[in-house]
Amino acid sequence: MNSTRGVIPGPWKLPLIGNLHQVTVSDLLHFTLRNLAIKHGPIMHLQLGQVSTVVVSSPETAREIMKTHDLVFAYMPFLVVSMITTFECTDIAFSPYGNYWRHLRKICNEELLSAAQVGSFRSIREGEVLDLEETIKSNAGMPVNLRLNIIHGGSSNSNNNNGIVSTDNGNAANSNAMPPPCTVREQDQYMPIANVIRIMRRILPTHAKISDDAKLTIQECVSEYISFITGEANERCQREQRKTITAEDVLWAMGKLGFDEYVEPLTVFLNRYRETQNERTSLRGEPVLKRGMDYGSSIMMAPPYAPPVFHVGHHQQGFLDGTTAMGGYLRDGSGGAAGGGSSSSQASLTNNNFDPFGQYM
Amino acid sequence: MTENEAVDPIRPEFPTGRVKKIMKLDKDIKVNPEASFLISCSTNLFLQFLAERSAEVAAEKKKKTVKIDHLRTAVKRHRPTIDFLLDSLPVPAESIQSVANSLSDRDLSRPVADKPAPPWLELAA
Repeated sequence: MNSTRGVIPGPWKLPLIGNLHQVTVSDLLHFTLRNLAIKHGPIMHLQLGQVSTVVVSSPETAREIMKTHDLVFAYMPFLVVSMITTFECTDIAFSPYGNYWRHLRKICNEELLSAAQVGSFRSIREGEVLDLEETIKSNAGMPVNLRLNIIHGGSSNSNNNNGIVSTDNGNAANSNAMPPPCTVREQDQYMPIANVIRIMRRILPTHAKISDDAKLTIQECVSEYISFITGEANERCQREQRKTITAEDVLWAMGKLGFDEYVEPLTVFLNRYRETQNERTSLRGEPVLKRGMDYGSSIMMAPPYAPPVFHVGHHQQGFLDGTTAMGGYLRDGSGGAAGGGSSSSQASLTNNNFDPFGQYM
Repeated sequence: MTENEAVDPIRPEFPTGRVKKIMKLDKDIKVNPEASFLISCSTNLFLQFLAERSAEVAAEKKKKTVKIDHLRTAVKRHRPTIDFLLDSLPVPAESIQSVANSLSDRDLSRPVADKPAPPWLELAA
């Protein structure tokens, strides 16, 4: 042990095997480790043959390792087996946490795990599940080691393509052409940095600066966020056999992913947006009532029969109906019947309506 | 999360075309304009949130410039954000250096110490 870093306590070590004899004494490794930890403390050192191991056994120490110093410990050990089988730890499972690994992960997400690719493996998945079911059935009455079956796949069918490596369409992940190295930032994948910086500056205190790499990173974070929410909304769409992501899918995804505090303000923005859209179409004379009916089912709050439209802030509560649409929207416009005139004509109509969102006024 | 009073939310800060393009990076997706509008608004909220929290962290550490470590700490403090963002943040150079140093230590499995540094260390810069 490097003495400048201090010594981690641990049981006494035999030559060559170190502490292997203590660790292999029983099948219940967790019990063995717990007993050793009781004796040597929440952080202890074991020498397992050639491999130096540190065992952590308390919540506080675990927090130190996995949260506080997570960057230091986010690496798989560079063991001989992984070095040999994964070309010196250059694959995604064993390469160290850093830019190279992020690059690999990006390739995986884009090429292997895109919606289209995952869909293309569907028949293989179905085949494997059927094989698994057969195996379990044929072992009825006896325990089955599921882990082996899942990792090694169905054994009976020798024609079975083993997993993802070769598929029948030409889009296999390890096709002959190497993907071009992503050394240049594809600006299309990101929001324009000027917009990002502008929004940030509005929030940050006046004297604050942002480092250049922080700006670039935040630009990436913005795109990650969009992909994240979109992915979840898309999944819901597919589950419900729909092809297009709607506003409701997005709101649902927000809630599910832990951003529920955005749902309220977003709903308000959405209503305003719909109003503006309706303004445009009603001025063109299209029947607005039909559109209204669609809203009834998709906004979670609206009543089913008529779409109330709420002006948050200084506008009065409006009521949208095909026949009075023109009157309502002249308030800013050319007619002298602005403000008071139109609202009084609508006042009688609003009695039929209710206001579930008075809180937004 | 208050509404942004200074800016009209109907005209979101982000270009609509770009929002759609980013959403469509996973090829098979079709998006309705309302949905892309909402995503645009919510991204704005998220960016403001990130900026605010990172600035807080920088202030706590008495620094005037917001750096990636501040961003990283800010992300770690918000559970839903950790889940998708933590691994996407670049690893600061110091910790990569410490791994490079530890590789030459004799404490780790001996076969590695004798080999030249693997290729990915170059890419870490």
